[in-house]
Amino acid sequence: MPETCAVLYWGTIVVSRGAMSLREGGGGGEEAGASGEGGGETPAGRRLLMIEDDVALATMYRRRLEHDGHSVEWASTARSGLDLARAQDYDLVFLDIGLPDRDGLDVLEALRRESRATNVVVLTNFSDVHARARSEQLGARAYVVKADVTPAWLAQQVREWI
Amino acid sequence: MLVALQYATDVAFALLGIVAIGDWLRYRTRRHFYLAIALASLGAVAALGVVTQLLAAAHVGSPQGIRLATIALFPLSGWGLLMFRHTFLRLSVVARVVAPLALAAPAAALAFLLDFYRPLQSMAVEASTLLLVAAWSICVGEPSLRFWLAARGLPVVQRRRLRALSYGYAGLIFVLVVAAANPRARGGVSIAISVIALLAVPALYAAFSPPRLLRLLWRDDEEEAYRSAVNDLVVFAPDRETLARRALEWATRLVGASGGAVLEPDGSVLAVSHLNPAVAERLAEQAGGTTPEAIRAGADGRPMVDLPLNLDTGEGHLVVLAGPFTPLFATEEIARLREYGATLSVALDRARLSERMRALEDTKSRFLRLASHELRGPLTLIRGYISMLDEGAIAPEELHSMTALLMSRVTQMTNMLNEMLETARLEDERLELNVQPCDLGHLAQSVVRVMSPLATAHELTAEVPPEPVLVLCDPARVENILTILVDNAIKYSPGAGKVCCTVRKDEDGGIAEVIDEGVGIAPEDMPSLFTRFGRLQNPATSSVPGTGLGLYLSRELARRQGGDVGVVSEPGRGSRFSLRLPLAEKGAPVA
Repeated sequence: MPETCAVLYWGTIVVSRGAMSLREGGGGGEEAGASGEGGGETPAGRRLLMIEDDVALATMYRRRLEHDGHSVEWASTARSGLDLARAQDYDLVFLDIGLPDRDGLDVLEALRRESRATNVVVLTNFSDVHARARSEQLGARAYVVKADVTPAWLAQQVREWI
Repeated sequence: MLVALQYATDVAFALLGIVAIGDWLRYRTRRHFYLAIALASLGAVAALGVVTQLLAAAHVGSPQGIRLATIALFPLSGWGLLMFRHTFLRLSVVARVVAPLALAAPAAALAFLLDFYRPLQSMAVEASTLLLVAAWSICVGEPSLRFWLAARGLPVVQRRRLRALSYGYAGLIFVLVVAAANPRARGGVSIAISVIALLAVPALYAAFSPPRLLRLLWRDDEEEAYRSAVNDLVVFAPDRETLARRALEWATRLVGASGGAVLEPDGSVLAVSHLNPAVAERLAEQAGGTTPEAIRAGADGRPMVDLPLNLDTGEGHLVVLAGPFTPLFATEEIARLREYGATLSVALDRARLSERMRALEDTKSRFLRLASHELRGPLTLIRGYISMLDEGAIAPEELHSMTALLMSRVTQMTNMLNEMLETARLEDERLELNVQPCDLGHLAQSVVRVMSPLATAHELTAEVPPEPVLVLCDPARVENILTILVDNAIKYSPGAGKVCCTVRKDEDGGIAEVIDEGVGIAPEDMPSLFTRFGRLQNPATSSVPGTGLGLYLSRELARRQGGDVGVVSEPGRGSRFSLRLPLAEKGAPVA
């Protein structure tokens, strides 16, 4: 990949950010939109929402979950995620903590304040005990550290969590 | 026996007068002056009494001058004490006018009667004497009572000194009143009068110059509490502010002050006690003058005790607003306060060190958390795609784009690790530079060329003058610095926009500037910007990857090449980072 990497003092430096076709909401803009079958539930799959600011990670998870027949919508900010979760019923919401606009757990708190029993799995790379305790307190279905699991494991767990 | 006692009393008073004058000559203050007048005139009266008695024993009549001097000096002693009181607790103008008149009138009458108007003498003389003693007793009694009352709530040594003064003068009033009422007292009464007068001398002496042993005895009760306070000061106290606040409680207690402040070397107030902030700020302005004395006129003309604190960051100050009796009755305590100040300096330095170590510890933990989180991101992706490859969940046509993505994440991790390693090298002084003359414009263009594919959403340009800008530097390190600056400009411009790298030179050096239109830097974030792990923490930047080492590393690398990295920024409008490097001499071979 000579066009995407360049040799500098420390070796190579990333120049391929955004090189892959990783766009929110299945190629939409900033706000999430329906993907796959346009948001409809497939016979075998479930309707999922992924609130995750890392484009590459969100794409990877979506790719794997859609491989299993699920329908996945994606939001890259807490605000757009909360709007989607309020507007539609999802079987499961994957929620990151370190979001650009707000703490992801604030989204969960807002949903609980509105008495929404949305099924939420916290999916983060923060293995912080306080965050874990708070998410449990707010009734998250599970607290998963991304680096510890594979997308296949996540896909397998979906049915159990729902 | 009686005669010997009387001689002893007179001599003791005369000596007391001499000591009081000596004290005044030593300190030269208005207070010492009035006390010296009060005690020395009493001493002089006593000395003249001795002379009169000696003359009487030799059957020589006492000269008129001695009588007149005695009559003049006695009321003077009363006036002296009243004015001494006035320096602590102010008297009204009326009192200051009436009191000398009340003393002078009977004294003048007495002088006139004794020397010029003998026929009326016995009854009129007794009446004048009684009036004089009464006026003197009021002039002396009132301050004695006020001192006794004011002593309540003062530190023990000050309290005892003030009370000793009250007791001494109360004894003298008693002696004079009894003697005036019984002018021809004999036997037991006379002996009692002499003994009480004699006892008044050590009491008065102890008041203005208490011997060391006496002071030690007096403060014995407080000593244990003081030692434990000093111990607490050095060993405990969670932070400097708490420590300074606790120290102030004892400092004010030591000198019977009304309040105080501990000031940092830069003049800022570290802690205050019983003072409103405005007074504390005025104290801060007045502290650290050139006057070497500990006691000076401070805020509102009240005396203040200002002691320097030799801190490792410079000279701080322990300032206490002295109470009305501090300047004269707390000399011992001020000396102790000086010792206390030295202890406080050590304790404050210790607390600073502990705080610094705690901060370092926190920084280290924060960095480890941050670094592990930052490294987990790319790791998750790499692990995830490898597992998907393994289970056949990736279509063959997606392989190419996937490997490019994985490679970019590996590179991201490598860069982070390299930043950490380079920082470690910097701190271990293992960094070796390969300094040579280079064209800064060429280096900037090279970095912009390399970084351009990264700035997919940004307009990344280089503006370089046609002639080379020759600087002395390590080219690889300068490329690192510019890469970090350009990378930051892109990362912190989430809404795209222009990123421009310009190169120019002035008489001091070559300058490369990286200008963006990004989120900018808030003034409160500026101080931590170039520190290790000094990442911007706000919603707009929380998802920006990085270890927080980049800018620290850039500045350190630049400084080790004789240059520097600086920044000008406006929140919401963008930032301008500039790298300055020393110019190479013309004609030098370019790398």
